[in-house]
Amino acid sequence: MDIAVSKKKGVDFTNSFIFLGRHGTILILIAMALTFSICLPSFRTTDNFLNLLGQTAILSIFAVGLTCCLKVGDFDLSIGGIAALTGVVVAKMLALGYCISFSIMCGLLTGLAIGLMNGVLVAYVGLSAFVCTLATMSVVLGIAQGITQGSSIWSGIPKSFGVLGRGYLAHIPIRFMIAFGLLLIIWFIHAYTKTGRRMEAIGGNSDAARLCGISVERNRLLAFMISGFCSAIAGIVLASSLMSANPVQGTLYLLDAFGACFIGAATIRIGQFHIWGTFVGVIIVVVAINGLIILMVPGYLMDMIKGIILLSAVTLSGLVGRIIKQ
Amino acid sequence: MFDNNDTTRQAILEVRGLVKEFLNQRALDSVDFNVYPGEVHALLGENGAGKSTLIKIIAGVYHPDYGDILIDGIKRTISSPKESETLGLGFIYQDLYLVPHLSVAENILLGRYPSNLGLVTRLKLVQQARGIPDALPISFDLRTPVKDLSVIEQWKVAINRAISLKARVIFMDEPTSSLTYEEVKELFNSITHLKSKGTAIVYVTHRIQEIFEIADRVTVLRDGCRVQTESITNLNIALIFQMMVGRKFESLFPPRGNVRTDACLEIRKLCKRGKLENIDLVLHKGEILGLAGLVGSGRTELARAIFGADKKDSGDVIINGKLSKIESPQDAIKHGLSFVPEDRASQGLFRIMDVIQNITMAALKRLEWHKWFKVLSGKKERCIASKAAAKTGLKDLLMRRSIRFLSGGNQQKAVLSRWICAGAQIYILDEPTRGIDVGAKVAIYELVSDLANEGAGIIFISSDLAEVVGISHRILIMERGAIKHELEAKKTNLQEVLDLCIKHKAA
Repeated sequence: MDIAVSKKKGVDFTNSFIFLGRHGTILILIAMALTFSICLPSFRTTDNFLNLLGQTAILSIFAVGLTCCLKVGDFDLSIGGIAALTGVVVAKMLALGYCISFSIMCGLLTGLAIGLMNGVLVAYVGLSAFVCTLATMSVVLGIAQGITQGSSIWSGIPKSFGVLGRGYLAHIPIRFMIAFGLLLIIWFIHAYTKTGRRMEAIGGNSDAARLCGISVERNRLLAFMISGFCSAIAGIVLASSLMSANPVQGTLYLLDAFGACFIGAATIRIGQFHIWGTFVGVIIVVVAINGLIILMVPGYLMDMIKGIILLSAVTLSGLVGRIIKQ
Repeated sequence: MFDNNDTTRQAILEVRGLVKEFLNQRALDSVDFNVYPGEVHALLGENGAGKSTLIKIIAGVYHPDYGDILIDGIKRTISSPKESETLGLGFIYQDLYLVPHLSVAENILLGRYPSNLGLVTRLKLVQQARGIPDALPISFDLRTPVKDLSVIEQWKVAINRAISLKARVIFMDEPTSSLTYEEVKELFNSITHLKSKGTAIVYVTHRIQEIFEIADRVTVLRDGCRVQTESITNLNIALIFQMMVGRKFESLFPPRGNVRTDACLEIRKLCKRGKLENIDLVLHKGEILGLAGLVGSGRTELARAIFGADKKDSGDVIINGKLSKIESPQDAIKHGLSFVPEDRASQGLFRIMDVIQNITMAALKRLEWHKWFKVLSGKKERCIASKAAAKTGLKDLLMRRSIRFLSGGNQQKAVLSRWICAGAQIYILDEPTRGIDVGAKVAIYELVSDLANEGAGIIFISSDLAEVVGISHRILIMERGAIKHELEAKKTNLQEVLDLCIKHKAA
């Protein structure tokens, strides 16, 4: 029997609960933004708003790439490491005198190469994604250390490189435009191309996907390469905004990126990782941190609050997911 | 054996006028049922007939809306599974519900460990488990963790658990669905042992063929009603079929179409070490080739090897006269092959997606807007999916629904639509009507027949002999990885095929 509309008493309550669950994260975001706007005068300035946009940029680039991986059912723990290595590679090449475009290209290739390595090991050799990317992260950080000999690279970087990470175009931070552009491209791939549909299928049921003629290995490899590529972009933008590179630059974004993706999986399409959900997740994290900084909340408390937001989002989506299944 | 008119025996368990409703629909409609000591009573019915509802009420999981349950002639209310246990009723479900990491002894005595001041003494546990009166003899060590045992050994553990709880009636739910032929024999031996001790067995199944070897009486349920209870000696397979389904066997299946002379698929000397032995097979256009055989006979392995889902060691696949290299499902699909797996939940469905997306998954290339602009068009997708769904009879309003909310029958129609959408010419269907109610089954038979009449070749794998005989043009019987018999369906009948399978078992 197909599930007919239940005529039991209390059906309205269930429906509104489901609505709440699906849009809970967005509602939290709106509530948070309103509260901060009302209570903190420095929050609701244009300057702060643009500041916010800029801050979402790097986290967004990481998270969008990670979403691809999570979508096919894998993990990528090396995103921070790839960003660090890429930043170091680009900075080193600039310092050695190479032109900006060439250095950036080398950086992007680095990201692609490591993504390729991850993908081959996980999808073709069959290693566990978690363990493999954890190991890759260490290797990559080691290489970054080797290049920089422990210190950071800051001399010899041309000022024009800073445009990417610090520049503005019509008052909007360029890094935000890069991040948003990347988001739109990847969203488009997911929603409107065969590859995106295949990746979603693999994430949903890889056995069934294989029986539909989808090459599970190839698509998982692709997901890792996209993740690596995005991490590389993040590393470059980060190096550009700081005008320097050090061997651990970017590693701190790992947890926040996962957090944003998981908040995304608790948004509207519950249990699935998707780009716009990740976008909401990124904004929540950034707005929360922004507000907390203005409130001058001490650092340890900020981490706690970030954790609580993530916990609530995932618990809520779990509960709603269970109700939907009934 | 048992005389229905023998009034001197007292029934251990009796159910009178049981009624159970769910959401205004009667799952059980005034059902009577009784069980005498030492009998094997088969409870038969199609999916949705009410078998599991009846069992669950007797087990104390559900409470009846009306009706009585009597144990030894005394009315009882069974309000929980624990109560049914104390009343001497044991239940072994299809999934066994043993704890995999615990040992045999620990599972048998689960919840009743001998303890000294709260600490369990393992030695005493094993001793107690070994010393259960009237238990089934088992050859394996009582300390083995249950997950290391084979399915039949696990069944024996479950049975011994029921015996240790002093069960006088043991309900077995679909026991043979995953047993090989030898294991089924072992199970039947165990059942005979239980009978000799006076324990009654209620054997719930939807497979007609097995009960002739083991049952004394048969009760058939249909649409929540008890159709009949009869001694096995007064029954034959055709009668039982009619009781279960409500229609004569012949009327269930559409008339067979004409088979064309050209072969769409030919398999030569397909081998897979340990699984398949030199398989030769020919499938003609317009033909429905039935593949019968017991669990473990290699039918699914053959299907997957032909489709490229699993590697084969050697063998040729010839499609429409041309030798083709099929090494992956991708190759197979390009050559017009398709495969509907046995377990649609874990291998056929994308539960997170809606019906439309499930249908188009094997034909993504057809959804592109334009040759040079490889973007998926939502409109094209809906259109193509609707066309395929219309062929299978899937209602249009279901298309946007998430596929996990559909009934088994509709889910299967969606999977079949997928291959129609992909333009398959050769269909390999593995247990296509498993877990589907009769109405939907008939719809699938008609669909299969239509596809064949349009020129497709179909390999129809099923454990349901009645189905195989009714739908196929030709029948292949597989055993232990090889094809043992080939029959023309028109020249044989259900009883003969059954006898052939049973005779083979004895051989």
